[in-house]
Amino acid sequence: MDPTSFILPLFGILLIVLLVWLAGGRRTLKLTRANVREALAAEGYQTSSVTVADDGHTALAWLESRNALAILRSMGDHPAILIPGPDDIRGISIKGDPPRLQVQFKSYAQPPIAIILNDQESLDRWRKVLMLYGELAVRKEAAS
Amino acid sequence: MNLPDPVQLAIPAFIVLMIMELAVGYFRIRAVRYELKDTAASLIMGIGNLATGIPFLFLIYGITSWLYQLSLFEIGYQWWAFVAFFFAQDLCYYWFHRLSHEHRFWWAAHINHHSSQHYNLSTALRQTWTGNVAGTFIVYLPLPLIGFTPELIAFSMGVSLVYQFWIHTEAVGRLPAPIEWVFNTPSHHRVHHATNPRYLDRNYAGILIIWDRLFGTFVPEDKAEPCRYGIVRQIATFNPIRIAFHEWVDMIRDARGAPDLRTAIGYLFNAPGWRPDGTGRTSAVIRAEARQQAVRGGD
Repeated sequence: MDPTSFILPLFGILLIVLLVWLAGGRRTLKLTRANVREALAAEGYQTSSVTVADDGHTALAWLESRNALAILRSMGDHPAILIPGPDDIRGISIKGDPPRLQVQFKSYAQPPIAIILNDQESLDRWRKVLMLYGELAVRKEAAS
Repeated sequence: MNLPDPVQLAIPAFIVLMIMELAVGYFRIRAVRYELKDTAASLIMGIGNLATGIPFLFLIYGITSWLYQLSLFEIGYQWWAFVAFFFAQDLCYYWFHRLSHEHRFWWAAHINHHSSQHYNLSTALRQTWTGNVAGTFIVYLPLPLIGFTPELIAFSMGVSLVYQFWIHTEAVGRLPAPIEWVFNTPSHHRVHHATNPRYLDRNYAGILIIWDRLFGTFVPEDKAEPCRYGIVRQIATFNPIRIAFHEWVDMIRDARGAPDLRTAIGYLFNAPGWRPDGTGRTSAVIRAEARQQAVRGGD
């Protein structure tokens, strides 16, 4: 294959990416309780508890209809929904003050998430849920 | 006979059509959405597919040429050879594609094409980097043995790929019924990319949808149930390396952690989502759950 045959595709990529950017394609969905519930309802799930990270990138939800945890992340302008099984989670920890919940996954397609749980009620609620998904390493660290 | 490379010839058209589709979305003529990171990831996957394909071109062409020497018939380039080959190649594509969805080893190579939650022309270019390594080309090897020339095979595979570019769009609605009945269209292929339970693992066609009708895998698009795109377990990354290899990494991890060889083989070759304890959510399980839910809802 002629190496110059890559020049046109590369030029095309740059042009398309530039046009998508100019056309407002750099949208980031900020998760809220409302759009989390809406996204899960579209998949046929009813939710009871929803906690959204302050930055709006990550959310946890408990699926009433399936008795399962759902983890949502903002992926560009879409929410990516993961309903993990116990075997999908590598580790869970709650560290620091305010408590920072971290979840690590086994899948190479799922980078870890971190959510700051601002109140004790949220912490208690999700601690119970996360216990179902593996050992929960709880470590309180003094805020520096 | 020297036949051109259809993909190389079509690249300018790919670029122009993407710009047109982008304009259709921008001016809200149709509900077409492009997102920057998603588009960039898809296009990089396309370039990666071209680059990773180069070393295999020689290998696959060599194997095909060798098999052609053993061919049963001397078909050459008669006019009817092109017609017969069109159907034969498209039938091989159907089975290659079905195999790529129904067995995890080949799904690992194909999953990246489905991993975007968007459905636009850039999704068409979100192509595999590992398909050749996975050996999916073996499905086509009967063709040189029958007597179709390696040049014709390479050409027709390019034509099939180019045809399938334009069907990755929401900008085109349903086409006239005779076309929808015979050909794979944007409507049929939207179903193929959808994660709605009733649409999962359906419409495997390349150019002709008749194969799905024939083998019982056809489902029409239902306006009452809009397609939700992506994969059952949506990925949380735009990193092309992770997009290309995540299912391989996960599959190998599962197989290595298996308690015995039988389970390890199950992880490699059973349906995507399979688990040895029966709790796996394969497409068949998801469809069955949805059916039960619908029945309960209807009570």
